[in-house]
Amino acid sequence: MTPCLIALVHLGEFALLPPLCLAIALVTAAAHREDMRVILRHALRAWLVTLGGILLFMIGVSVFVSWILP
Amino acid sequence: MEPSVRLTPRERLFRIVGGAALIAAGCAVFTYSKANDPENRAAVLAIIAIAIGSSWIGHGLRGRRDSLVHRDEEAPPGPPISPEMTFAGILAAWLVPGLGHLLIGRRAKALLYFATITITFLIGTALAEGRNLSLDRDPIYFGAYLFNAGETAVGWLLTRHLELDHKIRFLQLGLTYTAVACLLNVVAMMDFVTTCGRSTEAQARPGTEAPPAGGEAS
Repeated sequence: MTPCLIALVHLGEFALLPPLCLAIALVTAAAHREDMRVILRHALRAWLVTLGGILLFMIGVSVFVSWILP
Repeated sequence: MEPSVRLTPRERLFRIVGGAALIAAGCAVFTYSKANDPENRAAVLAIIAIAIGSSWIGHGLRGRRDSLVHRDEEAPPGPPISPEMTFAGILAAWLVPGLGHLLIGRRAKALLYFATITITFLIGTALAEGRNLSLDRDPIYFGAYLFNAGETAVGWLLTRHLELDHKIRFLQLGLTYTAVACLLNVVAMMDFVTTCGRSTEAQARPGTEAPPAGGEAS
């Protein structure tokens, strides 16, 4: 199975993670800051970093399962 | 209290390596539990380990360590808050996310906490088709739900008659959403307590003027 196919198979579940990540980013940013604009800016930045992490994780797992593990 | 602490190179290395080890352990627990337990009950432990590990790596890479909730030096102190009011606010925040902040006049934060936590809770319930609030089926997850008592009680009353009579594709994800939403309420409650403490300290400190009650810091 190619990495892209594995990624697509898992996309159904992984695609549902971003809203959860956004909620975590918003609440933790609100706990650290008071200004709403700063909270939203921090949360957005943390969210984007998290999405990048999830994407890298998916690619890493796909490559590992497809090419390294066999 | 210091808002953040600078880490030594040795501490940074320890945080990065320890964080990576925690993430690896979390992934291993998740994989083992998924293979051996159809309901994957240890998933919460794995998620917590991965979250703490990620946080440690972040501290190591930045070279600074923050507490979960810290005083923001830019924020002006709020109006004086009595201990009774603090206790009532904690109870209110436990029942309804954000209600504690609303009681002390932090309307924007109250709305943010309520909307974020409630929407996440509802998404989790929808993903699990209402089968996520059972003490018998998911006792570990229910432990997390106790931190958001009001919404859990209402949800349990509305969905307690539902049985797990068919396969639900996103049940695990729904449980995770709901558990995380309830645990986020702990962060909101800690922020409330910190806000009350800052207001009390500012009241005790001579020469500090507090804004009128009901005013937003932003």
